[in-house]
Amino acid sequence: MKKFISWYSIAFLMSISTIAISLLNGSVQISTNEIFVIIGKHLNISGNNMGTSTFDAIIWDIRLPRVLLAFFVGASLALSGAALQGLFRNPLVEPYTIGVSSGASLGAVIVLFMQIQLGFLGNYTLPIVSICGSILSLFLVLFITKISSRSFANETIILTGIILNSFIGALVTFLISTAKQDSFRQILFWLMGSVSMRNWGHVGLIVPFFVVAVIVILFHYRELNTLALGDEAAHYIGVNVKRKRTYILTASAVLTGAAVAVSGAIGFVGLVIPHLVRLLIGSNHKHVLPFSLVVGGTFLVFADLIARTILSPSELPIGVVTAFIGAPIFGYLLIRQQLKRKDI
Amino acid sequence: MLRVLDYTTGYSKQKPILQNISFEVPKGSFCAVLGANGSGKTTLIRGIMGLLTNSSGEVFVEGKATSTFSKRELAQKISVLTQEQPVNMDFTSEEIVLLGRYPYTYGSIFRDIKESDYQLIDECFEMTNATHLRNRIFTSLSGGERQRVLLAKAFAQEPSLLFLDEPTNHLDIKHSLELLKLLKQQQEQNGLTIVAVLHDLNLASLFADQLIFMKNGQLLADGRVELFNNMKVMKEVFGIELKTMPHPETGKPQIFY
Repeated sequence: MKKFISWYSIAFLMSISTIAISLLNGSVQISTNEIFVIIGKHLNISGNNMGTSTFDAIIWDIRLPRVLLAFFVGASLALSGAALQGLFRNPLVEPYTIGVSSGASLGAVIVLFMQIQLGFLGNYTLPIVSICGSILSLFLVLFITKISSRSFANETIILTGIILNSFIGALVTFLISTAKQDSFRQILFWLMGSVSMRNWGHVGLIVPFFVVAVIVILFHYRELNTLALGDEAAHYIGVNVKRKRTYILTASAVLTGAAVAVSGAIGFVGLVIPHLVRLLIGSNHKHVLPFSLVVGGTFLVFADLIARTILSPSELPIGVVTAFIGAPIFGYLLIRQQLKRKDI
Repeated sequence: MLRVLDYTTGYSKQKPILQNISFEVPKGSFCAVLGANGSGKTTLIRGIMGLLTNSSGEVFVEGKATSTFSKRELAQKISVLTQEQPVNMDFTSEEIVLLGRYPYTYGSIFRDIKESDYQLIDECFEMTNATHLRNRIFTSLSGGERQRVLLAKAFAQEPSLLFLDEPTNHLDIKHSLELLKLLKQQQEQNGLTIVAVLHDLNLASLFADQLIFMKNGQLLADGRVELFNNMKVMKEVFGIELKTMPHPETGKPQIFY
């Protein structure tokens, strides 16, 4: 247990300092002091009006929502990946492999391509349709799996996800090919994944889904542990496998859908972070889940910081950064793990 | 202890896999389920454990119908040790055995493993001579060690009835004997009731008190180990001629092909 307390403190400190560094850095230099004043002012801690309105806008309206959004998106993707990997006992599973991300992307592309604006949803038509797309695609995967395999086998779910991914991928490409020039750019930009040009509205949109889905998943750590033994063995220990799996899958889909909706399809986080966490602290989901959440969020904040500062004032797509950072770390940890096993 | 009454089950109503099975296993005895491949031995376990939905007839455990049990209640009464299952995650043996406490964690989503649970799994590890494996990574263990850890997990459920589905399938003779002796010990000392699907007829004869023979989803014969000497039944169950001789020490029938 002591081991975990120190791991948790390290993770917590790292996430706080990463967020702080992210707020401090950008194309405009703003001092630490001013940042505190601005945030304090908005939180009604200090009433004076010291910060200039430009700095105020940069910190409060641009950087802070962007950093928070990156954190929520990273946390969502990583937690969703951790839960799905546990559920399927398959290290290759992540939100993308079961078709949830594709579904969300398709929803978004349809909105962008057809320029739909549902009156009562306003600007939030895009994200909400994405979430619907991800949930619909999940239920489609479950439905196809159910009628093709009575035992609800895990392999079938993954295969179904792959089929769905290919099909939706073709649809998206088709829509892009027939798009007008300006929406073409817009769709491409969105597909590459980014947390730039986001505001508090986006943060507000992901948070309610995030909170509910995180609670559902975190409370299912015991079931995820039992599922490591196989569905049948989990059933024999008294787990209602089908019901619990549906809860976990739906929560993962909501997490992914909400994340893809506000940020586009950012890859790699859902695959690598849970792996990295397991290599560090073991496989017990009691710790893997909260850890993936914190590490995933921190990772994406850091990736976004690099994406917007390294070629400043222009920006890299964040997906490039996540792969650049994630892949070598993952490789290193994997090799180290293998060497350690040989020593035993 | 276990009473199966006119039990019919399968994946669909039209084609039941098991038909009209009835038998009884008294408390504290070791029952071996035998039969050719595809005779429905594993299905019997899966059916009793509620994995198959289209069932008729009744199964009673300690006098109560299993249909009245919740999944967790059933898991508190019956443990199942299956053939070796691949585990992909790097769980320690201790974490695996703690999973056996799952059926006792209901009532609150915050209910977690308590100190008393740790004491209990201490005993389970001791029962299966696996204490030294406790902090090892489960996937790094040998086949025999894994089965002992999984058996400790089964004991952690504090069952009164233990189902085993070919528990010695991938084990060599030394480890098979070790595992079966362990089970026999639990049966004799703690009154555990054991129902085991076994392939090795000689091992079944040495360890079981009761034999159940199955063929094509039906129960063909039910009796003591002396049933092995009944050539007619053996021919019908396995489709080959068997010869038996008493074991030089125990006198139990041993089978020759």
